[in-house]
Amino acid sequence: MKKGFSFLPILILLLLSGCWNNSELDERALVHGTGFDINKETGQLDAYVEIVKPSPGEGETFSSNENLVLQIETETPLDGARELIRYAKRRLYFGHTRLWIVSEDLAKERFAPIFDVVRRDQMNRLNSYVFITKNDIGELFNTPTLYENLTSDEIISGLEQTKYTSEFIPVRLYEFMALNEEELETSYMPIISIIENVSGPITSIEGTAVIKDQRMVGELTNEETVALTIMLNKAEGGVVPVSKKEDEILSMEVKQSHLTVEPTLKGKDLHVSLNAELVGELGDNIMLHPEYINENFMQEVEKLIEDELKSNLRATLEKLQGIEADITNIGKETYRKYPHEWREIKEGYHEDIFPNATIDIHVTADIFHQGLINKSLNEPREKPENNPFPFLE
Amino acid sequence: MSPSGKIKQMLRNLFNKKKSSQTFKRNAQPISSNLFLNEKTIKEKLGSSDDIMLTKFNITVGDGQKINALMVAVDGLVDEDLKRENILKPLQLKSLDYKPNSNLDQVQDQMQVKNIEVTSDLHDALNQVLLAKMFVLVDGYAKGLLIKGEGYEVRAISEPTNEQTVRSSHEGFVESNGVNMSMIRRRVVDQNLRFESFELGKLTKTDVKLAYIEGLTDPGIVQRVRQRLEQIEVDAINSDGEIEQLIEDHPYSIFPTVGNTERPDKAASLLTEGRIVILTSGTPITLFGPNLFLENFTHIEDYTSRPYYSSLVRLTRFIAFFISIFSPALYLTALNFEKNLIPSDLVVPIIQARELVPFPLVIEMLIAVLLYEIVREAGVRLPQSVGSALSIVGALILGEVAVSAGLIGAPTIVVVSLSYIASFVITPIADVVSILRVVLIAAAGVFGSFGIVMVSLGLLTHGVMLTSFGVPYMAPFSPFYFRDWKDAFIRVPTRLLKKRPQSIPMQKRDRITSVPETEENQ
Repeated sequence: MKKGFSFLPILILLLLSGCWNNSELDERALVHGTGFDINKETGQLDAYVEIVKPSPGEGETFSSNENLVLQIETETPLDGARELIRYAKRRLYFGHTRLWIVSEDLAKERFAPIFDVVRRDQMNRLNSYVFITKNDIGELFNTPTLYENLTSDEIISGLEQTKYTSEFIPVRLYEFMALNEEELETSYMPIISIIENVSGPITSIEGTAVIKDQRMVGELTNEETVALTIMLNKAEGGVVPVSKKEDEILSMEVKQSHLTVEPTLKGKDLHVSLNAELVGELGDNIMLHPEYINENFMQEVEKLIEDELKSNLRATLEKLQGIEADITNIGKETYRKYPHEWREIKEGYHEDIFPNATIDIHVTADIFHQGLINKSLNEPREKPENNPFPFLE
Repeated sequence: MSPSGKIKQMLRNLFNKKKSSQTFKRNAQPISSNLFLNEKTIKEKLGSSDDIMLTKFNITVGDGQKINALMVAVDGLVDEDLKRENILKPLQLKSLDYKPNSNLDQVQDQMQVKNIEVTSDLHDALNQVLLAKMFVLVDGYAKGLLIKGEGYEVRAISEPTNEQTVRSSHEGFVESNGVNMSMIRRRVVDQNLRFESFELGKLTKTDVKLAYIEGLTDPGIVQRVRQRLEQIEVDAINSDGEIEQLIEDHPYSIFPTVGNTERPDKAASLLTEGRIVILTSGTPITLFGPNLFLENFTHIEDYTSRPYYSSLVRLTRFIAFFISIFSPALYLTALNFEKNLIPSDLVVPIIQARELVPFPLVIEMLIAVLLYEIVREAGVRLPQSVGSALSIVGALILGEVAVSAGLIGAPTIVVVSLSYIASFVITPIADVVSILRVVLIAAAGVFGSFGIVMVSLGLLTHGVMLTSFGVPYMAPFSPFYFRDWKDAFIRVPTRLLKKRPQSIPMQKRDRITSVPETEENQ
């Protein structure tokens, strides 16, 4: 019994103090999105956070102002996080941050090292997403949402739908960090913008930023992003429209795509042969003079799509060659095939080798499914030849 | 225990036994051959209670001689018809051919009853009278007759209210051991079924039966239980629960190592699985052992339903157990310590609910648990006529209004009520679950996930240490008997359960000798 009592002080000591990291939920501010901008006047960092607003409204349904956006001018991200306590009145918790936004102004400087503390600190989610924006970050966070409570959540929820479109490539934080550490040291990030739509301003992903040497050096349009997804073997969806004649549009909905890169390096001359194979369904078939869908028709359409994709790929590659940044798999494959030679060409690869490379592009499109009807919808109807009900004649 | 301690224990046992046999001898009292003296002693011993019936009557012997006789019985305990028509009437109306011998054989023959016992100990005889026997004394004889003829009211056999089934027997045990034994006997028609009688409690003299199947049940277990029952020397045994607590291997553990059931079919199936069953008169609940942890997740109906659904239900019960004990603690950990654990989409509703509540989350949780515990207890003990009032107070005031008044957050209510509802799936250990829930909430409130891990470790260590009548409580998980897993988390088809569980020691393993072939084999 005496032994039992001697444990009592220890027990009380433990129970009264508890664990050091015990903190009530309402003592913390949970950050869902973070943004970094550069202050044009002082040249310092502008940090933005989107915090869940614990609005104690009774029976309140979805409203757009459940978030709280704060901004602070700071020297470093961590310093900003701590200084924001002055504004937020609570300690900020970044464990739920799923969105990191960098403004274009900042992105054009050496911005990637900003994420150092994000990676160093154990509480952050490395599977969060990174974006670049041309808009004001505060404005972006305050864009009214369509479904979710917070703008950050809404942007993230849309990224899961990437399967059905190829106009953006979501980039997670760890992917971004990995890309920057690879041999090519180039990466890409989707660009998020505010656009006006019928129901007011909404956020939308518009194009892809090209990042080289840890700064943004150029950008691709939506259409060029489609080419990029094909080149990165990430296209699982998307629609490729082509015109057969004037005012007529046909399209293929991509289901699968596979691209192989075969580089040949001779001294400093790089020759690359790209071979893209796309499989999909016949999408739109908006024809003024409908044709019967048969093998010939399909081959014609496939040819058109191949040409269309080829020119898109060519244009995108030329643009990238112009920016002098290889964000495709070409450099990677070259490194894999010529690891010894790579050491010599690595230094000026983006500036000398890649822009001067000759690139052959072969595209094979295969439409495996035509849909449920054989003709276009507006075809004049004919009486069927085989009347199944002869007695009705 | 040290050798000297063992010797002391042995001596103490020896001394105890002696003492008990001495008390018996001291209380024994021979029957006098004088009826008047006997009557006086009886009146002294039993007092003048109204329910003690002393019936004086005469027995006529062939030559016209009349002998005084006395019958002692307790009103309401004996069968009044039997007493009047089959005992008193024949003795009074018809004369005996010969004068009875010293054993009263002639008197016995005259009575139209069976089950007569001759005794010469008045003290013991009166005890038997209190246990619903009739006692006949004849003047001039130092012996008396004890006649069995219970006629007290017994509740009719009805469906057990606490263990209901869809596809099983609808009989439940009643308060009478005789009826209960017959119900078991009907189900286990085997010559080796044994009922051993014990009389427990100096004042209550509760009739307790130890049932087992000889040649199947492990003799070690039977001997262990028998010895423990014999060692019980208390004034009163009022319920089976008291016996349970006295014969348990680990009376201080929160886990019950002796099981209980109200169903005769379950008792019978437990007997055929090599276990012992203890019937207590005065209660419809029977005890059984060895009771394994796994027992709490099984139900008699698992074996009557087909294996697939049974397996699903089994798994559900295991999941319900974990939900029940861990969900409030994990919720607490997620909110107070590991905020990363909260699903990001749930962050907003949870934060908004928390913001309203003025208390720390641990206190909020404990308030919710306390409220549920109060409502549950009130619901169990409540007179049925005020039941609707409770549901209004419970559901409406405590649930709805507490949330809108900001006393308890809605997610907390959801988590705690989920935990409570889940515990109703595993009723045999619902009480254990209630305690564990609070312990885990406290541990999680102080130390977060570390606390949960430590309590779980302690719990596991404690669990594997427990035994039920010497059988490891956590079998077949620890010790690991993989063969028994056929009937653990899932139940395989009956034809594959060829052997009895390895977890429980017994003398005969095989239980299926042959089964009809399936079409699939051909």
